[in-house]
Amino acid sequence: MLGKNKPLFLLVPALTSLGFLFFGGIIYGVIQSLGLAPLAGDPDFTFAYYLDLLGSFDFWRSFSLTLRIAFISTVLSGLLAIFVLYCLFLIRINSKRDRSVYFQRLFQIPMVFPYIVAAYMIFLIFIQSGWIARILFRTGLITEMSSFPVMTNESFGWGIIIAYVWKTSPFLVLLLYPVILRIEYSWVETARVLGANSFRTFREIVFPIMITPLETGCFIIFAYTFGAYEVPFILGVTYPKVLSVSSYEIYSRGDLSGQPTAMAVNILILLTILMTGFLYSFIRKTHPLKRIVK
Amino acid sequence: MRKLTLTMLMLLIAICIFPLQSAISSEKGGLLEANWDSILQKSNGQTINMYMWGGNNGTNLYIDEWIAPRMKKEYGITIRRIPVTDIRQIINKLLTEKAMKKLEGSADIIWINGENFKLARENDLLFGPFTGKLPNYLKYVDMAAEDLNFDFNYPTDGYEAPWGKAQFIFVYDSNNIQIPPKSIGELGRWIREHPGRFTYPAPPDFTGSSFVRHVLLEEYGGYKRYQEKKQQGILDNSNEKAWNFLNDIKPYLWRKGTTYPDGIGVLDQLYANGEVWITMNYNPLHALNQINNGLFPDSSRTFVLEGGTFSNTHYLAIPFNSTKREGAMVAIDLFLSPEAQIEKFKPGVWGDGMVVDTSRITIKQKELLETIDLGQSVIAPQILQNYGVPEFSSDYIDSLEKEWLENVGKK
Repeated sequence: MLGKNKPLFLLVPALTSLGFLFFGGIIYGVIQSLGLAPLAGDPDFTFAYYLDLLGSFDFWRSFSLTLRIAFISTVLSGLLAIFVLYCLFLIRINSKRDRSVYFQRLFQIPMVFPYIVAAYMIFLIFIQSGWIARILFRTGLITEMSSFPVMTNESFGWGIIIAYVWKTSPFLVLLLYPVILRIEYSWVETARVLGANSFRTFREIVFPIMITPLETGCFIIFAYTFGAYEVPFILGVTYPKVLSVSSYEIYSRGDLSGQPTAMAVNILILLTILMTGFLYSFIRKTHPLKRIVK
Repeated sequence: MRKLTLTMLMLLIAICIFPLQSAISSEKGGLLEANWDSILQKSNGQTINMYMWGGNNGTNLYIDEWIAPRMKKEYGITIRRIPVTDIRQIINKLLTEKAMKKLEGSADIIWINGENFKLARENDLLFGPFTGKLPNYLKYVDMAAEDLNFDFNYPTDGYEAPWGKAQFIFVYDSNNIQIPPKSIGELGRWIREHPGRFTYPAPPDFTGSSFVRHVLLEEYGGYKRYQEKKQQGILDNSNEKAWNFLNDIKPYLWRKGTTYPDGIGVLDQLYANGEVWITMNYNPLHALNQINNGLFPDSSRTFVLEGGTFSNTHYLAIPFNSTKREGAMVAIDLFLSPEAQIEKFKPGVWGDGMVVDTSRITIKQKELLETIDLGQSVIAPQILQNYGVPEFSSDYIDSLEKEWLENVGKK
């Protein structure tokens, strides 16, 4: 009876729980943000919460801060991952026994730390009275602790970006390392015979294979860093806050009237991420990347 | 296949929109009429989930290592401590559960006071009045004491049992500061003379918000004047002055006031690192505790403002949808026993103020109390008491926190 739909039916339990928790949450968030499910008072369908947000200066300051942090983190993380992969590639093609596997493992270490631990580590290391500042002070490289640059809890968000890059670039390396493993020695040999050096080989052979998973990975990182909470909570400033932190603040603070607004912020975060995804895939369709590379 | 997906989606939406309607239980009264013995009997074997702010190691160890084993041994009740960063999270959870008519909640005891208690009471989130059932409450707690019966000016009405007392103090390093400031005005001068060495946690952090209220208190000219002015409805003018004060010191704060620590833990870290020279806390024995923890320098000392510092009581309450109210009541009763209160007062343990009336405890317990050595890093309890003033009413605090962000935080 099930026939060729069988695999689909086998997925039903997993999909149902995922659907309830994920889409259920989103749908309930949408309903709340439209004023349809207030915890106190009567339901009233309205776009007022969205309109208020879109017309408020605070929201756009938070929005631009969040976008900037997510964008810079993604780009830096991508660049660092490519650099690491290039090194792994060199190790692989230049050694008889492939040692790149061990180094690749080494790069996975940051992945075992939760984001909140990473954020707190960055705080302890980079604060003006932190480890680096103390080492520099003791060795006499800086004459006063306070002359160490402010890197955590400052309004640009460097601390947050460092934490994100440290946490997410290993993810990209993990995702893309199989590409390095797929490279056949004969390809490298051929490239060498044709006069390409290692860098050229990497650029012409490895990078084009890597580009699609790299894009997917970068999008995941962007989506995560745009919506995540704990790192900017620890390393952010009092004002302006990133969207997720300010959403939680609105939600948990004061009277209950803020809850629909907080939900509206969350829905706007989600819409921004979705739109970024669509926009990017649209650009990629109209301008295929091969042309960009050459 | 598409039809199936569509149906499921519709079903999902339907479930989200219409929360399942179920009858509200009306058995609430039963337990409050029961006698203590039957409550004790029923509580045996229950596991109590205690939701509490988890930011103080001493408090956590006190629950896990002193309270929990005794509960288990004497009453067969298991205490499960569930740490939260802000009890408001649980209030929000209870609000949602109330709206969804969920009658079997996971929280059995919550540690609460002030605005959160008020919010909980106004939305009927608490079970009670239950304190009149607790033997230790009846025997040892002074039921006429106003500082216990009014929680930030809001009547407790037996819906929460007093657990401990706190008073706001400042901690400073006596190696860096010889004579600590005695008023907000002097503190302002000190801040100007020592740029970058002072900051306070951003409200709505509990302690940071209290610091802001101290500034206000001084602008009002003390607590009495504040009460009078409040009755006359002329509060705004002084708020303005307080914001001016806070904005004036801003360039001289840590990081020039571009950001504030988001909690008391961060401020303590900055103090321990020597980045700032003053920290603040609601535990009068904080300096001693942190010296013992090896976090603060031995030269740390305590000071209070002569205009008075806020003192308040913190409480334990039982959520409306707790399924183990008997066990929760028995546990709260144990928290109120003189032994538990004295243990809690010990500096090495937690150092939290007692709510039991010391004139009602036994001579042996009194002797035990006198042997507790507080050392020189803290202020004697009697002196502390002289400077204690009651908190502002809780409805005022929420709006003050919002105003701070608008007038100071964002500038």
